[in-house]
Amino acid sequence: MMSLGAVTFAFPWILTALAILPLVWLLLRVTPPAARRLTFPAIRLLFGMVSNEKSSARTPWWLMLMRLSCITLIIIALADPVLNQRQSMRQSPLVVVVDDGWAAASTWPERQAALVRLLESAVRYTRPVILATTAPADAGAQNPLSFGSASDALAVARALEAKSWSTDRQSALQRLQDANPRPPAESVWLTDGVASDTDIEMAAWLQRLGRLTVLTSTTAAGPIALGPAERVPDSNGNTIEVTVRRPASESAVPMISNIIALDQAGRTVARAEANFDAGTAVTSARFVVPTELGNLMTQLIVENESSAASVFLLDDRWTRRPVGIVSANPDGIVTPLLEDGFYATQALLPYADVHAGTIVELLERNLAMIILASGNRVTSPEVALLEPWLHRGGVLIRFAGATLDGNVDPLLPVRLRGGGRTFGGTMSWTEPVGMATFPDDSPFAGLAVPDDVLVSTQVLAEPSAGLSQRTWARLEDGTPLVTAERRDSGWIVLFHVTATPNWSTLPLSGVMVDMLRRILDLSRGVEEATSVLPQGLSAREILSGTGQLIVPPPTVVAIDRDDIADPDLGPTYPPGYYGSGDTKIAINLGPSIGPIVGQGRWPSDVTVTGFESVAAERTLKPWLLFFALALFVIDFMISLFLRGITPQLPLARVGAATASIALLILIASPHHALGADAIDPAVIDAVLETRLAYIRTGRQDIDQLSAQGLGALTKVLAARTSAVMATPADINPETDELFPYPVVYWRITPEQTPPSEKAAQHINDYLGRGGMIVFDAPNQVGANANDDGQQVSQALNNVLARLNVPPLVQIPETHVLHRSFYLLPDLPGRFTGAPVYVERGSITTDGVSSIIIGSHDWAAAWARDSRGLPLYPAVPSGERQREWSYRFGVNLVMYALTGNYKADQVHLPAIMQRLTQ
Amino acid sequence: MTSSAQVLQHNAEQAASTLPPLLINANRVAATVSLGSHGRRRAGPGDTFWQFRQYSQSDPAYMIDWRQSAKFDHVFVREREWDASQTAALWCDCSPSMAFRSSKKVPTKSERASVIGLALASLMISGGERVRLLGFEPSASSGRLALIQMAHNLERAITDQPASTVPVAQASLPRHISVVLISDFLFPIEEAESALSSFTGQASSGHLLQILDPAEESLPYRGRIRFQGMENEGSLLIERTEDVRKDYIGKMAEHRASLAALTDRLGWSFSVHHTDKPPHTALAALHMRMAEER
Repeated sequence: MMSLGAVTFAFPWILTALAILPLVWLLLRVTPPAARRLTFPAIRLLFGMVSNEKSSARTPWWLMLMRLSCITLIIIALADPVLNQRQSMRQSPLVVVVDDGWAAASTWPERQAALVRLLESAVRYTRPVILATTAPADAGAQNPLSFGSASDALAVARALEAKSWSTDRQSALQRLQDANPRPPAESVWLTDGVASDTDIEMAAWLQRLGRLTVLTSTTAAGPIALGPAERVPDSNGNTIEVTVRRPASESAVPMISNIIALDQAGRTVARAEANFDAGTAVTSARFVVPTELGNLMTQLIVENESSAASVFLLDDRWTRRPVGIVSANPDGIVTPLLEDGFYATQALLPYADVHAGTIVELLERNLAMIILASGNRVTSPEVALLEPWLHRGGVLIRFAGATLDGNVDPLLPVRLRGGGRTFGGTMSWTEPVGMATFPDDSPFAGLAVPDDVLVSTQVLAEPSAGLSQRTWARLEDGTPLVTAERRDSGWIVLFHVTATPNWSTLPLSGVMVDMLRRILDLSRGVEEATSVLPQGLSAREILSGTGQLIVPPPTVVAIDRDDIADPDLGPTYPPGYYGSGDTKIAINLGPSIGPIVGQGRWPSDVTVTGFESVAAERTLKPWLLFFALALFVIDFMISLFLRGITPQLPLARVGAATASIALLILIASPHHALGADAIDPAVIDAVLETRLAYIRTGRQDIDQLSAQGLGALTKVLAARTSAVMATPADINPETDELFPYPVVYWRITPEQTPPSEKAAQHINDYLGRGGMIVFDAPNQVGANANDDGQQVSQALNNVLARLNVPPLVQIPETHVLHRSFYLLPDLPGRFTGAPVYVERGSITTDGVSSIIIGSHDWAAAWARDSRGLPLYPAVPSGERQREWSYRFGVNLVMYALTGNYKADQVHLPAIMQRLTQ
Repeated sequence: MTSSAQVLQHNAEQAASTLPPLLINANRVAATVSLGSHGRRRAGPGDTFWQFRQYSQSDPAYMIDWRQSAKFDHVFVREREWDASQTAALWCDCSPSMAFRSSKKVPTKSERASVIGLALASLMISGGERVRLLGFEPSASSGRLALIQMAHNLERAITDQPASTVPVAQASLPRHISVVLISDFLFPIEEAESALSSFTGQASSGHLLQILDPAEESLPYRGRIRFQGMENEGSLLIERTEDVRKDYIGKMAEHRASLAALTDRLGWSFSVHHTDKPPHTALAALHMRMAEER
C-alpha cells in the first residue's frame, strides 16, 4: 500500500519493475530500426557506396520516449492505482450508521451517493461492514445486526430510501451494541443534523470502536416541518395558520420558506411565506383564501423540500364544512319556498355540504354548523346531545318562530322577552323597520346593508349588560336582529326573525347568504368525534419518505380510532390518509415531531465533514491500459511508416465511406426524413379546387346516387352561378380529412352504422370549425330498397348520438336557406313536405347552421345519368319539383359558401323605405 | 482507341498548342508554314514562288509567266522553290525504371517522356514533317492518324514496360533523319555510346533529352534504407543515406558529363528535364534546337 498524493497503489511492489526502463532504453538504442525499403531507378549509381558511420542509424528519441512511456504506463497500471482513496483504516471492519428518517429526506440523494461511494471503497478492500439505519425499518422484526460483506451492504444501500417517520437512535444503538463488534473498527455516521438524546452516547460508543467520522449536509439549511395547523376565525374568509419549524440553533440565519397549498390535482391554490428570524426555529404561515378556494386545498407543502414532514395533509375538516339543517319537516325540503329550511339550504349549498334531518340524526355525523330553521324549542334530550358538540366547537344557528316564546330552552345567546314585536301590522301604526349598519366588532362587519330588508316581526331580547357585545346585527331602531354567544369553542347564534319570509324579507336578501357564510367561516370545524368512527381505520394513502402520497404497502395496518389523536408514527402507522368510505382522516407527521434541535456539539476527536468529502474513488487501471494501447497502436503505425509502408487508404475513400454510412443512417430513418410532411394527394386535390363531397356509405347504389346527384348539382351551379367546382369527392370520415370541403352530403341508409370514435372526432372537429353537413334521411315509401323508413330514422339518430349536435329547430320561413340565391317557399327534393331542421342560432359560426337535417332525398332529385336524363321521378310535382330541388341545391351551396349575409335582406324593406323618403 | 490513349494524346496536344507550329528550319517564308514543309532554298518542285528567270530553250511553254513577261522585253519563267519534308525518329523510353516517381505530386518519368515526345511529334506532324517512333513497327508517319497511332503505342508501352533497350539505327530508316531520344539514360554509358554511334551514318542531327525525377537528382532520403533496383539490378542497404548523398550527386554529375561528352562528339544536343518542371520548357528548348539546325 503506497500513496502518492491523491493516488494510491494497490500493488506498489510492481512499481519496482520501473527499474528495467533504462535496460529497455539501452536495448532500443542499440537495435537499429528496421530499414526502410525504397525502389530507386538510379541504384546503379549507388552501388559501391558505403555510409561513413556504421551505427549511425538510431531509433529517433521521440519514438524511444513513446515506447518507454508505453511500458511505464503498463507497469503503473498493473500496480492498480486508485484516485481519491479514503485515508482510512483500510483493513479494519467498517460500521456505517445512516439516519434515514424524515429529516434526511431532503438531502437523501447526496446522502445516498456518499453512502454508496463509501461502500464501494469497502467492497474494493473486502472490508466487513455493518450498515445500521436509525429509523425503524419497515414493519416487522428487525434483523439483528452483524458484519456482512460490503457488497451485500452496497446492495442494501442502493435500495435504501428515506422513511416518512422519525429516527430512533436509541434502538439503533441498542442493536449495534447487541452486534457487539470488536474494536478496532472504523465508524462512519451519516447524520441528518437533527439532535436526539442519544447522540453523545452513540458517538462515544462508536469512538470506542475506533475512528469516527460524521458526515452531514453542509449545504441544506436543515429540514423543515409543517404543522400543526389551525383555522383562524376571520371575518374576511378562510384563514389557515400553519406552524413551520426548523432545527433550533443559535446560529440560525433569517430565512424565508414558501409554503404552498395544493389542490387535488397538485395545482398551486395559494402560497404563503414563513419568515424565520435569526435564531428562531418556529414561525407560522397564514393562508388567507376565499372559502371556495379554501375548499380546494388538500395539502400544504414546503417549497423545495421533499420530506414527509414538509407535507401537511388536509382532510375534510379543513375543506367543505358540513352543515346540518333541522327543519320542521323531518323529511327535508319537500315543498320549496314554504319550508322553513329552504332558504338557509339554498344560501349554503354552494359553500358547504348541507344535510337535513333531525338533531339526533344530524349529530350522528360530524358537523361544523347546525341550523335550527324551524324556530321550535329544543327538547332537553336534544340539548344534552348538542351541548357536548358545542363544547367541541360546533356553531348552532337558531331562528325565531311562533313557538320560540320566551326562554324556552338553554340554547339561546340572550334572554328573550315573552311575546314578539310586530311592526306595520294591520292594527299597528308603525312601519316595518330596516337594518342598521353592522357593528364593527361583529363578524358581519363590512357587509353592505341592503335597504330592501324590512323586518315586520321579531323576538326581543331582555336588555342586559352584555347584550350589545352579543349583538351582531341591529335594526334601525337599535333592537338586536342577530345575537350570539360563545359556548366554549362553539357559538350559539340567534336570528330574531324566522327562517322564512313571514317575519321579514331577510331570508330573500343576498345579505342573508353573506351572513351565513361569515358564520360558517367562524366555525373551526369540529374534531371528528372518535365515537362515530369505525374502530379500525385502514390506510387509504400514505406519505412516502419524499412526501408523495402512495398506495400503502401491505405492512401498514389499520390504526385504532383511539390512537388518531396521538398516533405512534412509524413503519406500522406512517403518516397519510386513513379511513374508508366517507371517512378520510389525515394523520400528519409534522405535529407529532417533538422539538427539533440542530446537532451542534461533537466530541473533539470526531471528524465532521460534508457528504462531498467522500469523493468517488476512481481506479486508474483501465485508463492507463487504454493509453498504453493507444501509444502502442501509434508506435506500430509510425514503424510502418518508417519502413515505407503507408496504408493505402486515400482520404477520398474514407470520405466516401463516411458519406455512405451517413446515407445509410438517413435511409434507415425514413420517418424523420420523409414521413413527417407527407400529405395525402386527395387533400391536395381538394384544397386546390373547391368541390362538394359526400360521405361514403358503403352501399354501392347509394354512393352512386350521391355522386350522380352532386355531379349534376355541380353542373347546375357552374351554369347558373359563379361557383365553378370540381368533381364531387367521396370521403370516409374515418380516414379522410373533411376540412377542405365547404359542404358534405350524407345520405343515411338503413344500414348506416354510427361513426367510430375517430370518425366522430373528425366530424366534430369539422363541424366545430365551421363545416357543414347535410344529413338526408328519406323515410318515405319508395325511397329505400325495402321500405324501411323507420330504420333510416333510427340510423340517423344513432349517427347523431355520436356527434356534437347543437340544438336544432325546424327551419323557419325566414331562414337564409330560403333566400341565399333563389327565393324558395320550401326545400323539396325527390320528396317534399317533410320538416327540415337547422341549428338554432349558432354563436360560434355566426348564425350559420353547421347541420342541416332533412328527408327529401335531394341527391335523388338532382341525379342524372351520363346522357343528362333524370334518374328518379320527383313526387308529387314532377319536373317542376325537380327544378325547385335544384334551386334548393344552389341555395344550399351558396349558404355554405357565403354564410348568412343574405340574412341582411330582412332589413331591405326598411332600408328601401328610408331611402325613398 | 482507349480512353487513356486519348487522354495522353490530348495532354500532348495541349502541351504542343502553346507553341507556334514547329517547323524545322523555321527561318523559311511564312507561306511554307501553311504547307507544312520547308523549301530547299533552290528552284524545284513546290508551290512557293522562288524567282523569275529568263526563258531558255529547254523550258516548257507552260512555265512562262506571261504577266511578268509583258512588263519587260524578255520572256520570264516563274520558278518555284523545291519543297521537301524531313523525317524525325523519336524514341521515348518506357522501361520499368521510367515508371518511377518520388511523390504523388510529380508524374512518372515515362509519362513525362511520352508527353514531351508526343508533343514534339504533334508539332512536327502538324508542320508536315514525318515522324517515326523508334521501337515500334513502322507505320504512318505523317498526318493525324500517325499521331493517334503513336499515342496508342506509347500508352501501351507505358503499361507493358518493355525492357530497356536503347534503339539502334535500322536499315528501314531514311537517311538524313533527326533522331530524338528521350530517356533517363541511367544505363551504363557504354550502352549509350554504342547505340548512338550506330546512328552516325543515318542521322543528320540528334537530340538527347534526359528525364529525371527530382529525387534522382538530389537523393533527398535520410536514414537506413534498403534500395531496390527496378530492372533487376539487385538491392543495396545503406545505413545513413544522408552520408552518401554527396557522392551520389557527384556520380550523377559524372554520368551526365560523360553523356554530354558523347553527344558533343557526335554533334548532337543534350538537355535535362526534371519531372517537377512543366514540360513546356523542355519542349520549347528541344524545338528551338531542332529549328536551329540546318
